[in-house]
Amino acid sequence: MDRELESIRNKLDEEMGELRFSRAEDVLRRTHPRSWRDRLLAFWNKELEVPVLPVGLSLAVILAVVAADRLKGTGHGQEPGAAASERQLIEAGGNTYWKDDYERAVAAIEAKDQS
Amino acid sequence: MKLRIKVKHLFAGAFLTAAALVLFQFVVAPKLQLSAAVQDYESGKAGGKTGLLAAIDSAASETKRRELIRQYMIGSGSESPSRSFDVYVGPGSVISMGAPYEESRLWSWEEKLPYLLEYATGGTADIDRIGAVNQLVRYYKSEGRTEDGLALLERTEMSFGGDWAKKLKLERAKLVADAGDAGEAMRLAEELEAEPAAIDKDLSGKVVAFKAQLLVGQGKAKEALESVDRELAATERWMAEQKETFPDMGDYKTGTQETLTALREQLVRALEDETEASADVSGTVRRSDGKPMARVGVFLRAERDVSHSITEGEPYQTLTDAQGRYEFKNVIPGSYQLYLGLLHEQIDGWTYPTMNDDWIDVGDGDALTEDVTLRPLIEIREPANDAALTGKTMKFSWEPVDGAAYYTLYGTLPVEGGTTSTPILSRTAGSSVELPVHVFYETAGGYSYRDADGKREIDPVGVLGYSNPNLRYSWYVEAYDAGGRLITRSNGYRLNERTMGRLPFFYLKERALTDADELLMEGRMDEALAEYKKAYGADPQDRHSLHMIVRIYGAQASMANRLEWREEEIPYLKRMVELDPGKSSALFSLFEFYENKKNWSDTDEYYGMYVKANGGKPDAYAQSRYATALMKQRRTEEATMQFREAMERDPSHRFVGNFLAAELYAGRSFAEVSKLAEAYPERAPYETGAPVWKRLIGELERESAGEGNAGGYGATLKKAMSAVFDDDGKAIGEIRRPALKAFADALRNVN
Repeated sequence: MDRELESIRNKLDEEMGELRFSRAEDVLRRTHPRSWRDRLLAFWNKELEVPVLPVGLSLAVILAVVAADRLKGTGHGQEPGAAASERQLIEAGGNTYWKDDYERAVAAIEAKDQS
Repeated sequence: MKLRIKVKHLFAGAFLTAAALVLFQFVVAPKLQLSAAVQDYESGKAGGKTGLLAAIDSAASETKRRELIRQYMIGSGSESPSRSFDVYVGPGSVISMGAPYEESRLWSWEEKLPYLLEYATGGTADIDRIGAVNQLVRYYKSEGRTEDGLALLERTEMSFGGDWAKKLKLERAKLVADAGDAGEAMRLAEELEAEPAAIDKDLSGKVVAFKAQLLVGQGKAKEALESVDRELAATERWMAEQKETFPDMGDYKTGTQETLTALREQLVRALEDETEASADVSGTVRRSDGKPMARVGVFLRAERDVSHSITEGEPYQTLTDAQGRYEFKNVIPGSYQLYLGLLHEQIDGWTYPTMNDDWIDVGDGDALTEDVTLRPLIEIREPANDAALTGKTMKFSWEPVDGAAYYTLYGTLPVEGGTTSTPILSRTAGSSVELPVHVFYETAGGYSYRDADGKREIDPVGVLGYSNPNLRYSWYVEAYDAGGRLITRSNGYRLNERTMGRLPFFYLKERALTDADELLMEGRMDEALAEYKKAYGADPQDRHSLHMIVRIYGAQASMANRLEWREEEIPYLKRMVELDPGKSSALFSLFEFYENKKNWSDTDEYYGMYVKANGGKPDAYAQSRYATALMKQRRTEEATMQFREAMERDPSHRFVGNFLAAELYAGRSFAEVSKLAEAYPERAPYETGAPVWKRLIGELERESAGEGNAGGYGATLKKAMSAVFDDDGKAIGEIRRPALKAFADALRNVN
């Protein structure tokens, strides 16, 4: 057994006789960073484990809130505008009114009549 | 589930997101905002103008900024006041541009001035810069800053060449003329004429039209006419050449050709009137509360032009200044009407109380002042707001108007495709009136027609008229001063809560529809008539059935234009008068019927009763008809007296031809009759070829003088007039003298 191990070791020594491990320092720097640069590099390459479900969900919620807020903003500007773009003049009873004003007034009269 | 990610990848992701956001915020969003602003502006949304102004101010580049100003500010604001307003109001006409915009797309001067100045003074020499300059010049003029306008024009002329510079020079000449320096204006016009435009054919026409005005001012109307004729001939030649090159080109007239043709007609008339100088027309546009109306469009429109909407080619258009003043110089003598151009906010709640036949007669060298006062609309009190009236009387009331001598009340009923209005009560003194319902029921409006299976038939809604408990009626009131001038009215633009007031609608539910009414509404007119006759036979006090019998006969007569329908109507009309001796509409119908039949004694009788029913004040049309009847009976002295009275009260002078004929028949001299023709010109701007009576009389006079036998011609004239009075077509056809024939033919169309 020993002889066998011995022979393997000899063979390995023989085959790797030409190789020299010269980057021990690098490895040490990575495993035990000392300088700021080393620490930064270490941080840069740090692997994070992100739980997909909670993070994804919270992002989705944030996006939804922002989008809703934006849409609400434009919605405010457009609502009276949208009505206005259809605003028309009508002639009624010899007068010229804005159609929506007139229809509102007629509706108000009808409502009053029914009450 | 978990995701493994390196911090650097997380950073890279965050950075890319941020970059995308920045790109969106500064590149995409502004583009979106711009297109949204443009869209809002174009659709006339509230805040659309503010949005577009912000977009212009934050434009990404100078080029973009100029493009926006060019497209949305210079392009939309017209160089001519004829395209700058929401509403155009003139005698008897209100033209709404009908734009469905809440906030007008038209920029106010405060808004656009800085941008126009920026565009007009900087950069590229493009056509829009001329547009900007012209708009600014209009503004300077309305501000009384003629010098600034001239300086701007001259400066811009230098940066342009060719036709564009000439166009500007013409504007400069106009501005100089408006400022009162006709000599310098003429010098500029002559320079322009000496170096005709290379490409812009319209320009030379415009120069000729402008110079013609100046020439009339110098008493050279003949020269003006010659140059207009030359230009018209040249344009026609040019059009003919174009047509040879492009045979597909249809026949059409350019705007300038139209303008020149109209101008030509004015010049011909001015020459006939031996015009020696042009005139000034000026005035102030104010509201009755004293507020001057700044930058209102004012249009002095020639008789020939008032039948169409205002065009850019019409020569007299301007804006009022900050004090509401306007002025037109070098006005060619003739008949004009004054129109206003107003924005919605300027007319809302107000009215320009102008009447159908308000004419301004501009004479040689006149300096006329024509002030305009806008009045607040009358506020109505009752009936209003769809009230349902059920009593035996109806009360109408409204806010009294200062200075009103009387009011006239109108009812309006909805018919197919619109409404029709009829006076219910004329000349009532107070600001409230209580009417028996039958007055309203028996208000006889005109008949309306409807299409049934491609056939035109009487609309039963119009026949039943004001007796229909299911119709939603409306009303309005007009206030007049003691001289018969309109002061104000209750109908007009009511565009906000404050001006809207009560809605002038009501229902009259005092009566219910009868079986005969139901038949009528179903269009079964003959059956309805039989039912009405039956009901009236059973109860001679049944006013409604009697009124409806008359209405149905009247409707059928108007449709078929046949006298026999009227024959059947007559006994019922007479019974109506028995029931109500003051019923002036029935009396007028009877008078008209007998006049048509030449039954002169009945004509006299019913006209007398009609005048009495009207408190001694016949309407001018009825009086003219009666005068015509007298003329036909050769009672010429009486006829001319009646005509003279009617002429004074009917500014359209539609029966003046008959008046002149009666005067000639009575043996008055051509000179005297010609004076009458001049004093009472016929105004029929909506008819083509309305006769110019003064010209016709002038030709008669020449024809008579040419024959040298005044007595002989006088006899021939009298014979011809007789033929006209008797409507003897054969005898009229045999008239050989051309001037006399023309006069007789014109007389046959008087109505």
